[in-house]
Amino acid sequence: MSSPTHRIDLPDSELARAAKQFVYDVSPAFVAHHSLRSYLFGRELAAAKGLQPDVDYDDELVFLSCMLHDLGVTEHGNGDQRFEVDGADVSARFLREHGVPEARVSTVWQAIALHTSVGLAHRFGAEQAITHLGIGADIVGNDKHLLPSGYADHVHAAWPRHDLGYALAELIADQVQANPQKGPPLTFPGHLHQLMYPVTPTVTWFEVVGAAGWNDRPRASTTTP
Amino acid sequence: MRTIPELPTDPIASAALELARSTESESVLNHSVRSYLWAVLLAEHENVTSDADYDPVLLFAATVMHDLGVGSRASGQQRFEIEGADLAAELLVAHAVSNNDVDRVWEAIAIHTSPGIAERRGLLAYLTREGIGIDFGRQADIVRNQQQAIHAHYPRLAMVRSLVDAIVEHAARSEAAAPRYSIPGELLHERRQHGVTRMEQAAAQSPWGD
Repeated sequence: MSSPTHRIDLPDSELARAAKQFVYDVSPAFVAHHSLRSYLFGRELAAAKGLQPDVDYDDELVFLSCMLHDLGVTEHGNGDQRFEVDGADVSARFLREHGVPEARVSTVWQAIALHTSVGLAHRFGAEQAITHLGIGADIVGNDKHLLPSGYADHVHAAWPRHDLGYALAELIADQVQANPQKGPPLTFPGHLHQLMYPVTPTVTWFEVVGAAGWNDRPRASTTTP
Repeated sequence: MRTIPELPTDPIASAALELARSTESESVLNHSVRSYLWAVLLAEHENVTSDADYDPVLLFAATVMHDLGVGSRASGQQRFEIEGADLAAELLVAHAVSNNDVDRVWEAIAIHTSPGIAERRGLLAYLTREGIGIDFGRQADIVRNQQQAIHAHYPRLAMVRSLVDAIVEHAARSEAAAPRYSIPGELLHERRQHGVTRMEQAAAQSPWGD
């Protein structure tokens, strides 16, 4: 095991700075902050599991994957596919425009397209796995007990959450409401849509009886839902 | 006129078929072979059989082995898609298939239940997912001239119910095998909550019935 790092610095390459700027330019603050925190938590959790940046994984690729991973929920990135894949496509385009080689683009594409696929993403390679770790920690607290004491408070003070879990669910559900093909059944965006836009239940027999005006009342033995 | 495509007969294809036959129920095996046949018909329909990355042996490997994860060789410690992909990769490596081709088959199996993603990962992953989809009644028009003969050779044997049973049984073995918002996780949840799953309800509306 390696010791915790407590670092909050970010990769400083021209590409990394451009990616961060791009995300902050086109995203609501809660999305951009979440993306940035995902990288910091991912790097910290990787360290807690004994993985060193640029030894066991490519640090810039993890940063790019985390930083760009939610572009699909922005107006800029919203298209006709599920938000993970729209985001992967916009990110790939951004990287190609910056001259990134195709093999590196492909890793980022996979990390982003699979970032909500629990049980799959961690098997696609180190960068995809660490991206998934970091995002999972920031959004639902996975493995947060492995973060150094006080680290999350420090990060949240600099990049506040703005009720991330709810704010993100609203954006994704609204996209699916506007275009149902963005939320296939049994997927994460499909679930959020179902949660935020429940199908109105059909009128039940007991509601019909209750509206009849005869004052029929449930009997002691009747179980009403 | 040829009614149904032939199965490849080279040693890799034979070994893949034998592994599926010896570790899966007859219903799941037939589903897997039909998925290959539908995938070939779809490839012909879309005129992609002369594409450089179209390879009938790899397509056979991916489709015929795509449900090894619900067979008797899978342990239930990871999602069935991953356990199936690993078992398939092991067989291909033993037959000296190149790393790149092993990776393509592994990925096609690992993401075969991931709508909107599998279709974007190249021809093999696309045809694998869509071939399986036709066996659930999607795009049934494309195979209307061959479907009777194919179903006569490889009967359905209550495919959807048998497959859901096998997925649920596998998913119940560990938390890691059944994460939320995945096919195995949601099928397990629906079975426990309601007895019947949406996948089985949808099958009742499909052109194949089950």
